[in-house]
Amino acid sequence: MKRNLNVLLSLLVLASLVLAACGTTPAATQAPATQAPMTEAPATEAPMTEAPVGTDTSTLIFAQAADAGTLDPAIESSANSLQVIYHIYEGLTDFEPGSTTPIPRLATSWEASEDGLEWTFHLREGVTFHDGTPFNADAVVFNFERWWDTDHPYNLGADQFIYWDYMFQGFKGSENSVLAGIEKVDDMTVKLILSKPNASLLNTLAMENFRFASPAAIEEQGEDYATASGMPVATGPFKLEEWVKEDHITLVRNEDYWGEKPTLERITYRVIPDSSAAFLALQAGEIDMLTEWASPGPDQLAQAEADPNIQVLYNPSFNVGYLGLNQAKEWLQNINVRLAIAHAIDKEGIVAALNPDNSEAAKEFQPPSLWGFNESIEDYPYDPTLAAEYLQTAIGEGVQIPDSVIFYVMPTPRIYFPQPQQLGELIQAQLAEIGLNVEIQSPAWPDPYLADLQEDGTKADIFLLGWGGDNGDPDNFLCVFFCGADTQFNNDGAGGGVAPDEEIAQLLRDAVAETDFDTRQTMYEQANQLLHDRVISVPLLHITAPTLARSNIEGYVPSPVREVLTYIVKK
Amino acid sequence: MIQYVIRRLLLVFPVIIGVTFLTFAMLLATGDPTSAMAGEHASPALRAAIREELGLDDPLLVQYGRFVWRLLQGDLGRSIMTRSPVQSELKLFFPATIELALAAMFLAILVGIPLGILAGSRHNSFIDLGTTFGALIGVSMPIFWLGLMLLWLFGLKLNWFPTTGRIGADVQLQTITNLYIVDSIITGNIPALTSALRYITLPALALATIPTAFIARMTRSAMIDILGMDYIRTARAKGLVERLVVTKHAFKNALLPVVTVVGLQTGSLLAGAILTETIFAWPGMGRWIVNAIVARNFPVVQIGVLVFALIFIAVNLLVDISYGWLDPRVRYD
Repeated sequence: MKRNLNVLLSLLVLASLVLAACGTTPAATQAPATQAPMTEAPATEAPMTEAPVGTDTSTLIFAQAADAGTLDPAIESSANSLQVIYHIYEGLTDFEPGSTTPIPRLATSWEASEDGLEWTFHLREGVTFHDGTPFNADAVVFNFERWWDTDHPYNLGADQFIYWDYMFQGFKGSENSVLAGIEKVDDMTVKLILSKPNASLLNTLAMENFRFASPAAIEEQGEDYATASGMPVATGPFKLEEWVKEDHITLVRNEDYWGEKPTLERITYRVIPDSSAAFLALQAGEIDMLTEWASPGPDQLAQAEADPNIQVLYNPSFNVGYLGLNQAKEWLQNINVRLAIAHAIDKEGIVAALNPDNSEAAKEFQPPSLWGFNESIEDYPYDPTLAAEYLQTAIGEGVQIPDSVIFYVMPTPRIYFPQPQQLGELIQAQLAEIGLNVEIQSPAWPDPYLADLQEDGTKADIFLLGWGGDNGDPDNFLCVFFCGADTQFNNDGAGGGVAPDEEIAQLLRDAVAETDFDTRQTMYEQANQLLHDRVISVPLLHITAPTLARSNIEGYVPSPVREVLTYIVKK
Repeated sequence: MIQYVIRRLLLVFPVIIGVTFLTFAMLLATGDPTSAMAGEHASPALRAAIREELGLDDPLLVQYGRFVWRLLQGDLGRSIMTRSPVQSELKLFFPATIELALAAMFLAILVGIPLGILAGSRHNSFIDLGTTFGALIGVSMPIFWLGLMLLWLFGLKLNWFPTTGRIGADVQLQTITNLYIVDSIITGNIPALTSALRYITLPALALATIPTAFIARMTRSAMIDILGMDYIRTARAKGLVERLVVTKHAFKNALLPVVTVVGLQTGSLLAGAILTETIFAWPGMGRWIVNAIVARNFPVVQIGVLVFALIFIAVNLLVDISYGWLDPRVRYD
């Protein structure tokens, strides 16, 4: 009997070994916290809710590859966060469903002064934040000052308010800042004063980053505002019900919403990091939709197209993937070298080989659907013989072609390049045809890949990178790259390289300050022509990213910038 | 014995310092969080602002010193990406991984040991060959592939288990320890318990495969060794039935190497958890740390690695201590 007991005990020991080891919760977790106590917001600690799944037609389950970081729009730049934020928050303007045309949202109307420097916005009456506090001019002014003024008590620092810096070109006190001031005219009217005209302002104000949070909530929650330990509070059609980090976020319909209430009662954002597993979950009917950011490959896409229970909803292409040519490298400063590369790349062949169903060859740095695109440009035809001739001409002009051309190819898929490694190998082979010996390097994404390209122009000769539009204005595609010195394209970050193309830069700076639409449009068309003629770099692809959905999902309006779920009906 | 334990515990400090410092130095040498924060196209000025704010321009030792100083004050810092206190994230993700690892180890022991005993006591029989072959396949199977196959078969085709997640969203559960199975038992919540068990089955199966194979192989070979010993022959000679020979006389002595394997496999469970958690969307430590490494989210990586290191140390210590208990001839001096 005693022996039996021993054997049993031994087994128990085995099992409890692990238990005990794990049970010794490391000192770290028990250390006295000096941080702010967790607010008892219904975010993380709340019990699971009754959110019905699967059988209840009013909950939409939408899968993303990663959780939101925070739900504070001012500091977020990741699509996973902005996707959720879009449905909770509202700004002065919004994008018309399916397009990037700005329409009124929390502003009902606006006027701009003659010189384009003063914008007066009339605010919507009768709107309240989810916490019951009123939306008014004070709330608008509070939010703008929080974003703009790094001395504001609730500004988290210039390093956090990244999109403010991008879109408004600096903070209060900096000489480039587009905003010069914000004033409350009366309770329901505010005035934005600009330091220079900005024709894309209404588009910019439609971005998630410039949507309004309840000042009372920000003051009350402080540093925890809209983190998983806090609670986002805004005016939108949905509000946060529950957030279990890395698992799911559930939004519930805002029954006090000022506008037309959504049909859906709840949206649950599930985190499924592996795209194959997410696709299986969609096939099994455990999720209703899978985000476009899951970037399905051609096989998965074909499978989805063939499955009667799944619909493939293509969103208008709003991105560009390009082959960057780094003119900090002397040999790439020669236009014949760049022409040689442009002619050596078989874009149609790449489209056919990699993403025949959802990509098109790019000839400009902005998508064709966006105004400012220059229809009359003819792309450089694929012609290896001509390309080799250009290269020989360049060599005749004394250009030293490096023995090994360093080519940066990102190791992870991006929405604009779903299969970067295969793409890199195709380009490598095509450049080998004209006699360039290309060596692919794939440092880790995002760093050091991006840091190398954007801070140290000595690392790569050529590289893959891309861009997705933020505010639906061509300025956001072209000026982002070509308005001034950029380590990717023209300098090595330490004084070497060439000056940026000042003619293009000036044209783009003038275009964003131009208030006449037709003139602006012509200016962007001109800029696209110059970029093409001077082969600043080689645009490669526009990807039309698909959102996958179960067949009982109706009312989805494919949109260029964000997957809008507000109007969906689940049958 | 007590002296031995104390000596071993004191060794924890240099190990922790070594592990955290090396991780820190290696991560910093290969990039920082600026791109993860600033996205596809950040100006050098913005990058500089981020570095300054996070103190990334300071010398390595100064940055490391700051981390240690904060840690000594009990401040684990805030995640750079989520701005949440690292401590509150740890409280959430640590139990999730522990729950999964325990379930996997439970399965591995439950299956591996009896299989090993059977195979070892029937050396060269059909069951022995089957176990050896199965174990070979088990250790060679990539978790990633196995996970997807389990999802496809049991989640999609047979529809027996849910594919991804930790508990049904339609279930109410009052969380206390964040070990969902434990919490649902404590609160007597049967629907939550059923749901949690259904959700944990596939990831636990995937994660248990390799340790099951190792445990079965180790138990088998230990049993074969021991069953060939003189005292077993004596036991048989005095007419003891074979069942008792195997379970009473042989098995306890065969346990020593098995305990070692279980200890070592706990380490590989934590490593395997990273893949398993990714495929099955299990919100645990493995994924948390990997995401943090990719984004160079230093505060999270540091604490995550620290916790893993502590677990390794604790498991190894317990394994060593259990030797003395299983085999009184082992002395600790």
